[in-house]
Amino acid sequence: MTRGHLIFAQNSDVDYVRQAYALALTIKKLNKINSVCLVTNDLVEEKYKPAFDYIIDIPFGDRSTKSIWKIENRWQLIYASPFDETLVYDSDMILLNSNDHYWEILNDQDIAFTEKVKDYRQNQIQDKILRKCFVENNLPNIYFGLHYFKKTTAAFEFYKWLEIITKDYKSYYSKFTPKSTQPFCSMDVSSAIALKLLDNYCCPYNPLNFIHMKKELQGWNKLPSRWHKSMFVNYTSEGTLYLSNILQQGLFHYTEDEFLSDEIITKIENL
Amino acid sequence: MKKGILLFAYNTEFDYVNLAVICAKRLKKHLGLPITLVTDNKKLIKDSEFFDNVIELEDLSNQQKRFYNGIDSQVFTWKNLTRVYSYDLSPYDKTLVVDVDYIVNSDFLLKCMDLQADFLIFKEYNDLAKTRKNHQFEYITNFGIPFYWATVFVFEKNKKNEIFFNLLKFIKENWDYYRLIYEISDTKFRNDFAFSIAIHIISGYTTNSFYNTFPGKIHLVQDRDFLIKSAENSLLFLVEDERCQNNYSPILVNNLDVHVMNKFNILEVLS
Repeated sequence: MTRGHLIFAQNSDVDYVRQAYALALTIKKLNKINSVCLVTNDLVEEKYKPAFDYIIDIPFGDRSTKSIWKIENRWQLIYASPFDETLVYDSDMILLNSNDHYWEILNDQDIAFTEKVKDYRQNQIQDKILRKCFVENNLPNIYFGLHYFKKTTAAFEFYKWLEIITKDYKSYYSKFTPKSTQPFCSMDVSSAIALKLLDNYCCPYNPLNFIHMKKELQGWNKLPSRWHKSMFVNYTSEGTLYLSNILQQGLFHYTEDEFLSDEIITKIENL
Repeated sequence: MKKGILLFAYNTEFDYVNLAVICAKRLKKHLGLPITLVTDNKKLIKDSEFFDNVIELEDLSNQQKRFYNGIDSQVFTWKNLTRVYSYDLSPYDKTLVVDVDYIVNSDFLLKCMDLQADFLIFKEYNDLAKTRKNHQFEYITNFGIPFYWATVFVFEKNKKNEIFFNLLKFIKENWDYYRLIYEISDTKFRNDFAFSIAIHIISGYTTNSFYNTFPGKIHLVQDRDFLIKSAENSLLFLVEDERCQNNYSPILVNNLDVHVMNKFNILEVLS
């Protein structure tokens, strides 16, 4: 049974491959189970290649040519993954502590999604503003940004539903999320609808979580235009991250590409 | 185990020693524990019967702070630098330190002294006005660490607390460094901030403190509010409505300890 980490990256105005490179390096540094697969249709610079054990093309081609966020291809992940068990990450994340323990906890699951995210102060985020669509339509409150699957029939079934919903998201969103309907395709909403359709998703001992740095979720009194420019950010040469002197632990979803400065990349390379 | 109370009072343009007498009188009535007063001039104590012990210690601070009395305000000298020496000064094995503007109306703190906890401090607050948002009492800055109240705390003499108070002294001595690291714009040394920083550091720079908090919340009224009347164990306040300044609502509390930030008012009503 092979296990590994998968990052999906399609460049647009943001260099997601560069982000994936940084994440892959942190996974490699911190984990014993550290095979990393990059799924992309972009040319990968030579300097990035050593961070990945696999670099795989999008299996069924790019279906997102008109899209900015390039999320329409995510249903292809299960076909792309070279592993029996896979942890999938958004590319704009870095790992700060090992997550090797996930594998044994999730071993009984076909598929598992992050259900709880934290702010940088370790408060569990109760997001009733940006997640209105989930709350008002009684969707499972899941995050696609970090999820797990095992190549089982049930997991393939989920991804088939995800393909169908993604390709015709307007119809599905209007039917399953009549309140606060999102006008754009979102993997979180599409996955939540797929899980609702399957009606048997349950992950009682779910360890998946990450620090979600979307600025609206931090409980700030005054909202900065960019969090990484407004607070004291200290990524040390030992790979420890402090925000306003608060130690960050686990998986860090930075959301603002500019956070990943060349200086931080260099520190990650030298870990 | 010898238990007792430690108060700090330094007269400036404001008669803190008289405030300490008012505070001590109520502490004697409700808690009945021995009281030690730390001050810089014994001769200023007009009514010494409530103090079992007086320690003379200079506070060379020359900080200036604006104090409010409702809508009026005055800038006074603010001497607050000796509280970090509580561990060294206290003649007791288990010590309760109380701000002299904390008006005790119950035996709550006496019960807390019997808890199996070697350190207790308030983290959460209850503004009696209810309608006001006080982000400044939740985190020390917009992006910063959780706020702890140095207004009231309990500590036992042991190695762990000795380390804590040594750290507090270090923070005080290097305040300019710590306030910059913790993004505090105000240059004045503030005990609440120093305690919050020390707790944060000893908790491994995380927000998951291993320091015990008092049960419940610290009850408070702000310096723009007024204490109107006191009878037996009840206090009557006029609290300002945040949405409509100079619009006040009456609040009557019974058997409730309250941090009354309008110090002028305490002298006027409780002298």
